Amino acid sequence: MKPLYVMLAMVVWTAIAGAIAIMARRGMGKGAAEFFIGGRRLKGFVSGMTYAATTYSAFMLVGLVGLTYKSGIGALGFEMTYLIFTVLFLLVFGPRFWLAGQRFQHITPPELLGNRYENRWVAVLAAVLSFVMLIPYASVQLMGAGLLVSGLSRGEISFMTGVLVMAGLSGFSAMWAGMRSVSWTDAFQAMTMLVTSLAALFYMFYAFYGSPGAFFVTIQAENPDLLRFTWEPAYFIGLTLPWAFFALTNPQVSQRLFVPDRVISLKRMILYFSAFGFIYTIISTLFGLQAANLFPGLENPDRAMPHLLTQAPPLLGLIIFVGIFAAASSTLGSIILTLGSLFSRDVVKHLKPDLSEQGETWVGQGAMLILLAICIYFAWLRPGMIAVLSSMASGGLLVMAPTIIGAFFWHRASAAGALCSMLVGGIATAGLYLTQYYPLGWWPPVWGLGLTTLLFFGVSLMTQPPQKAAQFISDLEEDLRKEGFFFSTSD
Amino acid sequence: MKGSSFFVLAVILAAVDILVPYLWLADRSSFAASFLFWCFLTLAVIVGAWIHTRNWGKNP
Repeated sequence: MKPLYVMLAMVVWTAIAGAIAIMARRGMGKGAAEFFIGGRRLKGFVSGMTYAATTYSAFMLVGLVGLTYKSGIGALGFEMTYLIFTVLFLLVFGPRFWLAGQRFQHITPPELLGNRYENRWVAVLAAVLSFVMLIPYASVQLMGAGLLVSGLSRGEISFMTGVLVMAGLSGFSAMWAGMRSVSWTDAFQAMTMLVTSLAALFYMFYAFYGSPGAFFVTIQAENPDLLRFTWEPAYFIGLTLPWAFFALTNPQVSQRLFVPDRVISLKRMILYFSAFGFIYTIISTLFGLQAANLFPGLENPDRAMPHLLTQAPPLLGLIIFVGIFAAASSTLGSIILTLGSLFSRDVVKHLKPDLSEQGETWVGQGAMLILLAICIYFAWLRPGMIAVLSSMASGGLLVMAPTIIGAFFWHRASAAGALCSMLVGGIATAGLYLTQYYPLGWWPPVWGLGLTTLLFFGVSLMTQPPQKAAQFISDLEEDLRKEGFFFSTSD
Repeated sequence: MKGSSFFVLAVILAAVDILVPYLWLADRSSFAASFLFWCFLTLAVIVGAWIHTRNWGKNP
């Protein structure tokens, strides 16, 4: 594809997204809550789309397509299992996070944990774990943009140009008006992701097969192996387990449970996200099957989607490119904003409790700049280890699951149990990932979650729970009744 | 959703999600096997979510 087209697409896209970010600042109030979580005033559609755009990164149209290309329908099972458990967790924990945010004015998920466990170090440790695990994940988004841009232009636009354009857009979007600009651009980007990928999928159906029906018949006839579920159980569970808990353990998504303005918006957020995820997952999987049928034998499965792009007409190729770029950019912006808020609220605010609200915002913006610089540096280095570090992100954050679940459902859960389980579990999981040691063939998250759960229960039972833990849980249950969350067909 | 209902539902869903494809569908090379199963299971959960949240926000 001509470099000029790629460059033009990037410039136009960046200008539109930048303009949306600028508009989002109008009507923005003052204070940390206003900046970091949009003043808890987001409507259902924007909440749902920012949740979707944050969750679904470039992994979907590059990684998941490649995974389907290489190993068939198991990839759909992996991603659908993630979605099933995310919906389930949102139904249970969505209202609880939202109500706790309203009642205690929490801005970050670690802050909620620090309050429930009555121990600031729980919040600090949860924030530090998030930095360690999410910085490599954010860097991968930048690397994805760089590789996509340089690949599409056949090297005429450099890798670092793609990296810097995406860093500029995501950084601007996060720092200009915080959650307001990120969520508005996310909503725009989410719709772009969905519309462009759907248009491209149908183009491929008609261009290469004649009709969608003919595509399904062709795949069944020519690639029957891809429709068999051939994944080893240890592989399927090892890959799926961390993602099943993603909604709880990843602060960039759980923080979004604080943003809806009222119950109906929270409900719409869950339903819109669910519908988006369902459609986008099927689209990505079908792209993988198309690529496997049309271009078998690619050495690197992650090249399947870029290869598909080169076969499309230039305009369509550019449209898909913009969709992938949007997916990576929205995920990066959200992570940067969340990590900035964690640094400001859960680290600096603890060390300097008299920090003003304006000071919190400035510290958060400064942290975002530094984090972005670190991510650019990581992307520039392009270390081979980044893939391991990136996959470690979801597995490493999984060690927070018992602490988060226990906070809402087990009044005996203590700060010592939370600290011990997250610290030891985190080190053990990271150690297994870095050494690539999979005891008995099971993946690090399986061992990490097992160890973490044991430590959490064991240490909690041996130590004193926080004084107001039972009250925290009963207050939230009372709020759930008052707000009508239990007035549903299944309760 | 109450905590107890959630834990029971999560265990049942995890078992169905993993066991059905492995035990009955793994060797079938058709869209009407694992592909359709996971699509229907996810759709069922989303429809269930819609039903569950229908009355959210209405005073009990």
